[in-house]
Amino acid sequence: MTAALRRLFNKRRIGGKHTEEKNLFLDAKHLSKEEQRQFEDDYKLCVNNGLILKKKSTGEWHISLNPRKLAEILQVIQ
Amino acid sequence: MTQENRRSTGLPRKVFLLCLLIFHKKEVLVKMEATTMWGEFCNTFGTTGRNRVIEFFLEGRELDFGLGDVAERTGLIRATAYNVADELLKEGILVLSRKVGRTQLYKLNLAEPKVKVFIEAFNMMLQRIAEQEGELEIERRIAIPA
Repeated sequence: MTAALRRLFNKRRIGGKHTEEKNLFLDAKHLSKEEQRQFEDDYKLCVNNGLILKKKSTGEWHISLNPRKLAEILQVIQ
Repeated sequence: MTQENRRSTGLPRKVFLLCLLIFHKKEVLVKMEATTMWGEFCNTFGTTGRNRVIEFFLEGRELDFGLGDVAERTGLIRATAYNVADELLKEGILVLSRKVGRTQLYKLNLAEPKVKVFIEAFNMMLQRIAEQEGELEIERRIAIPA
């Protein structure tokens, strides 16, 4: 999950600038099923803790990083 | 394009304008796509194929990737991605990871000193993004008090 967060951070998907949810799961393509499940759990945890913001746009779920929790996200990443 | 030039192409005015519109839209789409392909690392050091591949692996440094995925997600042609990967393999920046079916996966060599420097630079860039976005957020809060 840290890799996906890092990718969002580096591409400045923060606040109003968002990307499709499926782009996040591209990183988990070659993981084993157990690791993929872990990835999804971590993702849900990030959404519940407010690190990732979700909104529906153009018919799909779009995500971005919470600009008010950048310090926390940076800690997780590094 | 001037009247003379348009006459020389032999296209009726409507067709000419339609072509112009399509070309313009395509250009805009290409620009939009380009902004999503790479991040702060490439914006700083240059958007060469080599930098794009390094940035991609730096972002997902714990994971391994196939070169097809790398090419697709960095906007490179497959042949370029393979050439760059060969170069990086020789330098020891990338290492072979595992095989899934017929796909060879590659990973960043975290023991290599060059990679450690890259990671340090990358982390500094993330820090800078956080500072910039933090400043913007503070400005926004001042502008619109809750």
